[in-house]
Amino acid sequence: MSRPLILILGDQLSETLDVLTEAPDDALIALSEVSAEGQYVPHHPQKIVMLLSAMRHFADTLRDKGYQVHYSALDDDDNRHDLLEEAERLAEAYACDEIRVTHPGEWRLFERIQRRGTRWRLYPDNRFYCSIDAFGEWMAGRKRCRMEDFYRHMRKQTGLLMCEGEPAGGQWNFDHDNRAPIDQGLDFPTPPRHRMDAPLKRWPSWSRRTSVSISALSTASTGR
Amino acid sequence: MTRRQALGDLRHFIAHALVDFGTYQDAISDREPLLYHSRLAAAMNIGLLSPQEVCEAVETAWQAGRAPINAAEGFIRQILGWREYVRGIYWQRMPGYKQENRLNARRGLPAFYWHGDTDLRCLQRAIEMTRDNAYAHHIQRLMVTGNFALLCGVSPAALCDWYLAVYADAFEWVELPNTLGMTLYADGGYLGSKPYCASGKYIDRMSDHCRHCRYDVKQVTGDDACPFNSLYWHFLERHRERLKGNQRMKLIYGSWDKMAQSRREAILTQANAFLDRLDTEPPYGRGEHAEGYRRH
Ligand SMILES: Cc1cc2nc3c(=O)[nH]c(=O)nc-3n(C[C@H](O)[C@H](O)[C@H](O)COP(=O)(O)OP(=O)(O)OC[C@H]3O[C@@H](n4cnc5c(N)ncnc54)[C@H](O)[C@@H]3O)c2cc1C
Repeated sequence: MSRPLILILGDQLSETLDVLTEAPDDALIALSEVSAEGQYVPHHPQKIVMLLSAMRHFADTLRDKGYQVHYSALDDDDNRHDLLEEAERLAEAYACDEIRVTHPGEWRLFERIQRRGTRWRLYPDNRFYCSIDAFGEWMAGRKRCRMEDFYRHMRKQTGLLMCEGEPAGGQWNFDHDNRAPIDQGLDFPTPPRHRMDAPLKRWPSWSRRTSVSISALSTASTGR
Repeated sequence: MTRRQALGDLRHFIAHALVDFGTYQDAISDREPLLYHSRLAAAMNIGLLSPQEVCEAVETAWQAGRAPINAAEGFIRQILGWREYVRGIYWQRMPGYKQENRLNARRGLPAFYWHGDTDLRCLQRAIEMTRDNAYAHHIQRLMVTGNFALLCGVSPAALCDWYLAVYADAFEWVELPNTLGMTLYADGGYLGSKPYCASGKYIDRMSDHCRHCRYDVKQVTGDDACPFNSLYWHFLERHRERLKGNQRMKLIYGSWDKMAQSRREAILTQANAFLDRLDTEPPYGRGEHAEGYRRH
């Protein structure tokens, strides 16, 4: 019996994913920093720093919980720099015959994974209130698919801000109260600033390589 | 960035900003990037916070009397409504959705979107804040950089690549419907019943930019006229055939048609002169991502 490789994408840093909660004890978890994902648009350096920092911390969290994790860093010599190819390389190296991955957030990746053959297994992304299939059912047979109708449907379904079947406050929509312009007397709260931490300092000078035009946007980052 | 930090941000938002979130949801400031917004989108989008725990925390604050209903409802609507809805649309309509360009917009991205060096104050500030924080709030994205691109006829690929690049919270499933659909009306009005096009008057009403601007928001033609004003009419005139039948646009076409012919011509000439001078760049996107915008 061989074990599965579980690929966690950079925007899937949730311990509650089915692909993780249903993982067998001997599963290998893979997180990969690959240049292909960093270069298809000239991502803001702060976005890249945030993602890499979050991925590295998440890998540490999983290790602390007892998962076996392979982390492919940007400067690893054998890194294939493409998510699917890197996962297949690792599956080979660790003798995994199945690669499990949560439904990605880009059509581009979803489509490629589907073409990749039976070794790949897609898991639904359970982090939304409404699954892709449930949305399809809501849409089916509707002439008009307006956000407002969907939203009311979801309020009823989840019970959020509902009082005995009626919307809290007696109406669905308070947009009318929510259009005040800027006012010089306002005082704004200062959000927490996040300290740069160790995994972030390991970050190579990669963002500068990703782009020409965005380099003008680059300022040293605060991790968020 | 960790889940612990994200939970700290959530607690901070509930304790200090949620109360005023609703009332000032649409306001724009020349100075403050965040106002009463949560800046939680990035943490939610990468999975450090779940939308459920965010919405439940807001509902709890309302139940405890720590936030008014207009704030709690206004906030939960963004997540339970908009966020879930655009994801649903994305997965139902892809891959064709990314190829939509119903207004046939062909222009490149204004070059100053990459550095903010422009004398239109609202655009300059929105882009500077974006550069400094990888963040701008919704009304800056929709009504400043978005509205300007809509009025100028920037192509979906050029604009989408920019939004996908510059915001820390940008991922295609949520960026694309917001940019191509809500902002550029390139899906023919799926997300909104009319385009979010606006003249300088809207920006002047919601923000304090115009007093710092070299242009005069009250003028439509002439050297000092706010470019948004003539571009607004230019946009409406360009898309008359498609938009004139829209109930919600009737009034505005009525006032355009009531203007003297010479006035209308002067306005269109003003807008054309501005567009001729506008320095643009082609879309940046690479590889399969860029392929996705093209029809096969
Ligand atoms: C052109 C354009 C592009 C956008 N691109 C993105 C993007 O790539 N990623 C992204 O998360 N949002 C995007 N948005 C939606 C919205 O502007 C951001 O979610 C919001 O500004 C993020 O800041 P915040 O967390 O402070 O939001 P808040 O104002 O505090 O709102 C709370 C939450 O509601 C959700 N939300 C609000 N509006 C929307 C919306 N229209 N669609 C989906 N979710 C919404 C977000 O999760 C947000 O965190 C875009 C909007 C426009 C007009």
